[in-house]
Amino acid sequence: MPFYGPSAGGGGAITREGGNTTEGTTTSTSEVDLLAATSLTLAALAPLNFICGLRKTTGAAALARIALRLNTTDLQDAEGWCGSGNAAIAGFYQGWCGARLTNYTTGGWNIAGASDQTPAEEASFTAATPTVEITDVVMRAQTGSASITMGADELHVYSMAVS
Amino acid sequence: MLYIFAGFPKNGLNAGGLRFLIEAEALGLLEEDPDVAYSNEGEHRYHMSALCLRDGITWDWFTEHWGFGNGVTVHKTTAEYRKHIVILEDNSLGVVAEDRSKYEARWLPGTCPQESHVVHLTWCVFQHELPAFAYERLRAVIEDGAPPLDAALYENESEPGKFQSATRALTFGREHAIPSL
Repeated sequence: MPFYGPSAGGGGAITREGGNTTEGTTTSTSEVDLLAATSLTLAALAPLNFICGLRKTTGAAALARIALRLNTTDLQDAEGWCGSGNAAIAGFYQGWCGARLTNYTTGGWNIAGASDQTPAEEASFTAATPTVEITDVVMRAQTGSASITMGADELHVYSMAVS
Repeated sequence: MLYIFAGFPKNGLNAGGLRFLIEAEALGLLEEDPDVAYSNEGEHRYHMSALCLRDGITWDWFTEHWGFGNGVTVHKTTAEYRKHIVILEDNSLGVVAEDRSKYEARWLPGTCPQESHVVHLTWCVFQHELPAFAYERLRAVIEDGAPPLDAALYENESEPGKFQSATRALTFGREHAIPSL
């Protein structure tokens, strides 16, 4: 059955699948589900791109961490994305993964950087990505101290055409 | 103990602002030990607010491995529902809605929103069970938008986002403009 519909991006190559455009915040010092886009229909063979804004407040000399979950799978342990100075810092997260199929299930990585010139944290996924349709994209967060607040905002999930 | 409320603090407080309020008004002791991580897979005591239950969100709404962490969290989830226009066998146009049965199964029967929507939840993890007056005050702050006792304490000119989340104005692109006749 042919499908005729609008597509975002040039020529339909990139489609915005979903996202979240107001912030979630947390003071949790252990990993917490912070910001999510759900009921998505991300096909297993579609390369994906995830972008999210990050920030932390003053309150303590502590850093903040970010991690990605797809469906119920945590792709890696939360990684620090900023320095540990007692300062209000803004940053970003971007993650990529390729087609998710048997024998190619850890083909993904992410980068997170901040305005305090901390070298951007780069890490490959350490867990296998789901090979089924992805319905949930969750940004997980963790602070180094309950005296600071970490926020995540403007989460956008994009898929790329495979033909 | 984990307390889950519907929505976000209507007075604009973020998680840090709510934490400050809990401390300033002596409502309880938050659990902030890094070794403590609440999830829906552990043996944790929890309480869903009446508004959560009314809206169809029970403990079963949370997906597998959901992390509640500790302290205070203002969580936000969006759910996108899409309908496709397809050409049917008789060359007419039809609307096909994507299967959302899995998502609907998370909600109490008949409560799952039928369009794209947002779910805001605020949860707090305390070391102990809250007395009734403290729970009611916390619920009023989050779900009713009750103001803090001293609002000036939460305003920081040098760091506006320290205790508050910025309000966002909805804007619509040209694709949503209605052409004038």
